Amino acid sequence: MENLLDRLVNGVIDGPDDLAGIGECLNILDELEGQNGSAAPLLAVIENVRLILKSLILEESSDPNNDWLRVQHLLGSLENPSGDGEISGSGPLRIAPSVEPESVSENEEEEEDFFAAAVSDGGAQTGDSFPEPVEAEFAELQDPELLKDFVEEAKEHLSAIEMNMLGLETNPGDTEAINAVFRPFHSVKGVAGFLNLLEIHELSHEVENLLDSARSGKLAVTDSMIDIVLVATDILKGLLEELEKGQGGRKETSPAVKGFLEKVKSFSADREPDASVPVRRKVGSILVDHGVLEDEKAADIAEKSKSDGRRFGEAVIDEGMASPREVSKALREQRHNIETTQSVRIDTRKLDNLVDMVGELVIAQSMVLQNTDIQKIKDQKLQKDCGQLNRITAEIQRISMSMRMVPIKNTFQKMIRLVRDVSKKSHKETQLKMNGEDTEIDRNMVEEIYEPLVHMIRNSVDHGIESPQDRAAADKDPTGTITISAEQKGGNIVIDIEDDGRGLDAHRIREKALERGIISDPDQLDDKAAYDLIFHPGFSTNDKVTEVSGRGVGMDVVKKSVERLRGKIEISSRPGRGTAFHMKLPLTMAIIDGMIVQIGAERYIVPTTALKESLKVSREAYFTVQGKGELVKVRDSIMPLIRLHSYFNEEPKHRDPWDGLLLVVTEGQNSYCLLADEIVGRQEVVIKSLGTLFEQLPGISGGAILGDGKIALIIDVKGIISLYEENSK
Amino acid sequence: MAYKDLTVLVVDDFVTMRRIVRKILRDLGFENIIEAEDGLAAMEVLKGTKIDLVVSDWNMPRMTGLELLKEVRGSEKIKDMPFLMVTAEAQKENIVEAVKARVSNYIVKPFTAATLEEKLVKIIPR
Repeated sequence: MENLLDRLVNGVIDGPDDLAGIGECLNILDELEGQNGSAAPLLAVIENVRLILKSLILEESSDPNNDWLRVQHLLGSLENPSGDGEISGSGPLRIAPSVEPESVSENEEEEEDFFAAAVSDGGAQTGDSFPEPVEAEFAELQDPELLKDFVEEAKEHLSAIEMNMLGLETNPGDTEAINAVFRPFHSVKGVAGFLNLLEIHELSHEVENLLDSARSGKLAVTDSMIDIVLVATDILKGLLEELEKGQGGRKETSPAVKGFLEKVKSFSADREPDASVPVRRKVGSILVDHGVLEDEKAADIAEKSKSDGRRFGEAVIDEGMASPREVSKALREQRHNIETTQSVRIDTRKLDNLVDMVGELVIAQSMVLQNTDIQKIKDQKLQKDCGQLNRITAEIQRISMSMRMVPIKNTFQKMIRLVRDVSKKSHKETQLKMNGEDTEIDRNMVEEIYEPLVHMIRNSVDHGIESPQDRAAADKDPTGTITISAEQKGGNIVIDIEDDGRGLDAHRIREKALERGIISDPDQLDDKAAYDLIFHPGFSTNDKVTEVSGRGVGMDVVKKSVERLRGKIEISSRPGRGTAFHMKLPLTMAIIDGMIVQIGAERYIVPTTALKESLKVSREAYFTVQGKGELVKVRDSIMPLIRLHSYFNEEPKHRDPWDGLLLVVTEGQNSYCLLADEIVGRQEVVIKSLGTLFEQLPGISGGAILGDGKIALIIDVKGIISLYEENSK
Repeated sequence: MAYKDLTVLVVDDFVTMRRIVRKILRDLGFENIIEAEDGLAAMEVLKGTKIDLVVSDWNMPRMTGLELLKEVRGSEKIKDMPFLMVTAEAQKENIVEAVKARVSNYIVKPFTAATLEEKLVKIIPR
């Protein structure tokens, strides 16, 4: 110890500017402190010296020279117990007892002074502010060449961020990945400071802070945080592009950036609890619930235990507010709560198999219960037990289905980014509102609806929402709004996408359709029918081919996707007020609501989503037209007749359409009548793949097991219609 | 020794940043400036070239400025090398950590030629 003190006192430091010396000194102080037997007064002095040195390092000291003298004085007092401050390298050392109490208390006073100084000094520097570049000083760096290179380099570095963020999404604990994201922001911020690029500097500064919190584990890497970083990356890229075009470098932060900065700040302020980590209930609040503690007292003790480092439970017991038994009971409950929210990962194939099997179970059960022999048994106990069995299988079905359900939230949230991207590209201002994002949907469906959603929202922004100028001129809020909502209705999920844009122009749609030969008589179409024309392949009323939506590939693709999911899409629009898409999708793709029809000796299933109506017609409604084949007149519409039996090689019970049953289906703008023998019933069926051999079978989309255990084929209505159209050409 | 006779090693992973530091150093009269893109590259340079001063960024991939500093201070031949740490993380603990690792001084981004000179005066042996 003497050796250390000797080194310390004999001028390892040249002066307040000698950082290397100060560093050495700090190391010696650490060593001194680590030695056994250092007395409390010595430790107090060490701490005091350390604080002053730190303030010197950080240039927070208001009077470095005076502080420097104080350090010398204090070090001297360590070696020379009389406290006269004289620095001498010789003489024996007697430390602990001889440090006079007065000198310690004096030191403490000084320490307080120092604290006050440091705090008031630091207050101006810390917090959200940061050294702002002073324009004049950096004018020499306003070199266009440098600026150009910066933009290029920054963009290059930023492009890696998305990849790294995706890595973080799957592995939030990956510090190296956080670092890799942190670094570009950090570097960009550094250079932006030099180049006096205020917006870029400020934005990267905030994101850097956010990532720094994540790096040090203060902030959990959540989806929403990842979103924020991604959005920031895009804004930053945008700002860089502006620079490239020579527009950037505003002296003031634009409202858009400002708004985003606020968001980032508030995000770091009220950081969300990590959703993947079960929320731990505080022992205190459990004790309050148990009536052991009062709310205020719990807060008091929490405060106290924070400052003295005791665990909350210990503190409560120490203070005599709860018995050890009560605390341990609360702790147990806390543990238990966590256990109930734990989850396991399961291979989705297993889950799919389970759901299929449960479907089979339900069907097998109904086969047993509908068995005529069993139904003959008039036994009350049997009936009661059957009821019980029914309830249990229904519950199993519900639970197994729910295991595959996920909230639609994630899909919706991806749209935020899309709306922003597209708005920017098409120079619109658009906000996205979401309703019912907690609505659950089969995870298999989630992937399937993503593309159609993207398409529709892209269209809404690109074609629906007007430019801010046009909106202002029409007395509307310059910022357009797109609302996406999800809702579960019966066995369906209903997704609405609404914009408050210009609405569809029925007149122009008719003109275009006429021009393109899609329709022949525009007057026959009411507005609603005209709107539906936009689902026609190759239809686009937008005269300009935009970067965003292109031309022609659009709503027809959406309609096809939705129909493939056995869903339906409708459109409504009010000129000048906006357009709404109404999508109705089955909750799951594994089960459909089917109409069972008899065709000859076999039964077939027609998905009810494809059916418009089923009816019987009179003999007069049937006629044939040269070149057009058999037609049926249903009310005022004339529809082609499709004989299902001829496609499935069945010998029908009824060859004449007026004896059989007609199923009206629509495809595009056209309606068709499918001829079957009769309706057998309606049932939810589990769709079974027919295996690779029959996968491509036209007109058939799968098979299902009916209530009596027999197998029926599911008719692919679209496929049948296209077969019909091909044949009639 | 005049600045023009000194060889400076500028370490930063961001090319633009290195160019900025280079420009400022030139403004101060430095003529021999060598660049390295991170700590590892800097160590390579230091092994083969006589360097009088290191100006290094803190946050870099592969080897950070702090790690580089520790390497330098741990190598007998160059342990007294004037080492200026460039930092934007005005986070106190970080700088103290560098000071404990015997950094000669540090400078906070963004800085001017004048601020840099102030620091250089303190760390270049007269």
